[in-house]
Amino acid sequence: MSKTLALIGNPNVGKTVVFNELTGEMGHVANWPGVTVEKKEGKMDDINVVDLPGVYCLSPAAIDELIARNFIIKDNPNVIVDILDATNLERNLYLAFLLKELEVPIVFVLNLMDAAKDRGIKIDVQKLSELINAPIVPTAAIKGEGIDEAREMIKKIFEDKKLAEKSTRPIKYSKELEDKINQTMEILGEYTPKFLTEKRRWVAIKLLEGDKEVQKELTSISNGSKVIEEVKNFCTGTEEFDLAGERYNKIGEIIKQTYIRKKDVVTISDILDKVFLHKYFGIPIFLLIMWGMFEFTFRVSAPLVTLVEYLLGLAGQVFEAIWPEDAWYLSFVNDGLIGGFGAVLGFVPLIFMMYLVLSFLEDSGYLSRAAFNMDRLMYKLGLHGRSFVSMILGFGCNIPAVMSCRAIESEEDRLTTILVNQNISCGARLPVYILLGAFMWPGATGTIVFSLYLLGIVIAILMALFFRKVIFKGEAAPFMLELGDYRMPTAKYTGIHMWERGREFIKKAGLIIFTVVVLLWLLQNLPWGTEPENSALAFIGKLFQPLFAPLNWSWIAAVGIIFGFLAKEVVVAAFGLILSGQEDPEGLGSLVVGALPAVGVAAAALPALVYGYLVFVLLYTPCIAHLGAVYKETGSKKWTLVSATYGIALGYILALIINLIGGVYF
Amino acid sequence: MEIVEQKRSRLIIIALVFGLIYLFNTIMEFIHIGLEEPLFFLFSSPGDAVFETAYLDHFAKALVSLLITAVFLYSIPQLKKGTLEGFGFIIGAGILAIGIGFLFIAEWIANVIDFAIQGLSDLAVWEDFVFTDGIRIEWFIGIGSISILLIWKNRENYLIS
Repeated sequence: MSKTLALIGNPNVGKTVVFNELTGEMGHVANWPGVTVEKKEGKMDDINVVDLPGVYCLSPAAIDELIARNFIIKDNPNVIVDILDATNLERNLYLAFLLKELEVPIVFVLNLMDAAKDRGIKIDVQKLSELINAPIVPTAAIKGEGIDEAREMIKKIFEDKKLAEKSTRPIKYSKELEDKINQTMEILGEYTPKFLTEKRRWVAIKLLEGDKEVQKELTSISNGSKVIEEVKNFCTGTEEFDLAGERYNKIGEIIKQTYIRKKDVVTISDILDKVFLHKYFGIPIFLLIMWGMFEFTFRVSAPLVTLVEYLLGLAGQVFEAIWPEDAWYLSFVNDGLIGGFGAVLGFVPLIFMMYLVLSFLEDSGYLSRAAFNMDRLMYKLGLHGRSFVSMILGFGCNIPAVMSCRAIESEEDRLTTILVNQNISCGARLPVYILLGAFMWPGATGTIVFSLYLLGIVIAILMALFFRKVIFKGEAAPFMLELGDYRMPTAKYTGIHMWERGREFIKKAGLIIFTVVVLLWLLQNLPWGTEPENSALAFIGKLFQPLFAPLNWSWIAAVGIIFGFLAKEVVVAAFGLILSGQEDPEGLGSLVVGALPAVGVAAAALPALVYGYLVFVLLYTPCIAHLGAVYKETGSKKWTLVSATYGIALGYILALIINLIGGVYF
Repeated sequence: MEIVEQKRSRLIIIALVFGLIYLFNTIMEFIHIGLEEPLFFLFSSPGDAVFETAYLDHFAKALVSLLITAVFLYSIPQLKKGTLEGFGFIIGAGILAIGIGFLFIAEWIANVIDFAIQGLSDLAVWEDFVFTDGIRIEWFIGIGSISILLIWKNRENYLIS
């Protein structure tokens, strides 16, 4: 029989770290809430471990909470492991109480013990364990402390029936409430939904609370409605019994007996938040940090990019030396693979470097502060601050960012956030910025990239404002974001985190970009033996070029944009492939800048034309897979079409304006 | 919780010294921009003076430096009052300064490696790089700011409930 363990806890208590440590998996870990929006599975020996999204309670308010609740209630895991935050025990115990009501074998992992110590918190773990009738293992998971003990305890509860049974004993509430629960269980009699037969106490409590989902389940069985009515009548006129109050009273009693906090302990988080969350300095500091990120990314990865380019060039020379000059496979390898695919490959170190910095900021706890600062601004504009959390995820890739919108409860806020996320610059657009920016603005490439990312954020906010004020009217829901402590990121998790994001880029490059490059190479060589300007690829470019004629873009620029719909990296690959036969001592960037404008654009207007092109790349559809994600999450062809078209229109208009200001037409 | 009275003046001096150094750096960066450069810095082609002087690079660094100056100087009145906010600002400014210093050191090391890979053997280029472009004032203030973190390390001597 298969063994299943469910890992649950409040958001940002280190669930995914515990999951990774127990299973050896590499789930996404971040020092802010809402990282896990889907359940993830791994193995600890013969036990299936399921990592559930972070939840505060088991009411199905948002999609992520519903996922967690449904798994616990309907999939019946053999054991639950609830991760508690030692720095915030009182609030975490609320979920612990809800889980105890299920009467399922349970182990509590008291995580963040190191942070609790820094805050001058002492917890009597033994006493706590006695009071909540379940084993508790203290850990500092990010440092690997206590993980072996947690693993041992989990194995023990699977093997030791006595221990498992002991952990299912409920926490007793006041006598009055316990009488109510028992009487409700009597009324319930046989009328318990089939999958809940072992959770009769929980069903009784939920009925006392007026839980709509449980009522719905009950009405599906015969006489269920009658039972609900009886319970309602029995609740002496009150529809919902104040169980939350009862739970908090009990939690208060437990905290008094087990939890001591030294007064006047100032942590680095308290101190740094004075500056990083300051109402005037908060946002400028966020911009400074973002600028630093791009400067670091571009400057520090330069030698690695040079090295990759050097090695690719060397490989090309070797092939030229050993293969006949007119062999088709030499053209395929040198023009297609090295010129096209290699042009994208050259940017892999750069992408990894950006993800390294992003992971560092995320793990340190700073990114949640950035979201907090932006929320202040966005809430004033009537927008939901949670949108910015998804926006930050979009710096990596827009697809998981769109999926993360599931955690947003309000449908209007969710749709708005999904629709504006595409304006946030993902990692795939970075190679295009760098390729053109490094040649055009050699002293300030990092700053140019920063300006594009910033523009993306500004456009996203403006579009969100438009959607909320014009289409999805209504008040924005208040945003609750828990700010965890600042932590010094560990090399292990920052590395894992970087690799996890970078791996997606490589996987995409390996599959989609490689396939598209092969297709592009074929199109460039058909009819066989023709010159590139007369090829099928040029035909496609020239077919679409009139659409971009007002922007003064050439057919090569059009090819980049058209094939960039498949994936943004393809823009660079297409340029690399089309221009692979040409030599320029200043590299591919110089060749592309020379090939972008239509005939007749003055050299002085080139920077504006190139910047306009980059803005278009920033704003039009990130990739075809993004549209798929929008369709999946909205379930609507209409919103998918809106997502695809408004980006193109906006990009086009802005590129036109930039051309006008920059003197492209004069 | 507030700052121990006897320690306030020391913290004020530190904030003032770092603030003034960053102010000097800000002015230097602005001077490097060159007043004759056009406002729309983006719109000039390669080979123009704008590119030679890397207008945008200096402009961005001037703004960064100005912000750090502001954080250091903003902390002074707060430190005078002895508030926790003042203490937070001097520590926060120190961390930002260290971050920027680290950024330039990393950039300098990366440039050295990049030059080496490209096989640059022109000594004049190296000399120019090492003594002008490479070593920046932010390096030194960044490293110097580590002293501010020592204040955090010994915070029990500075803070009282």
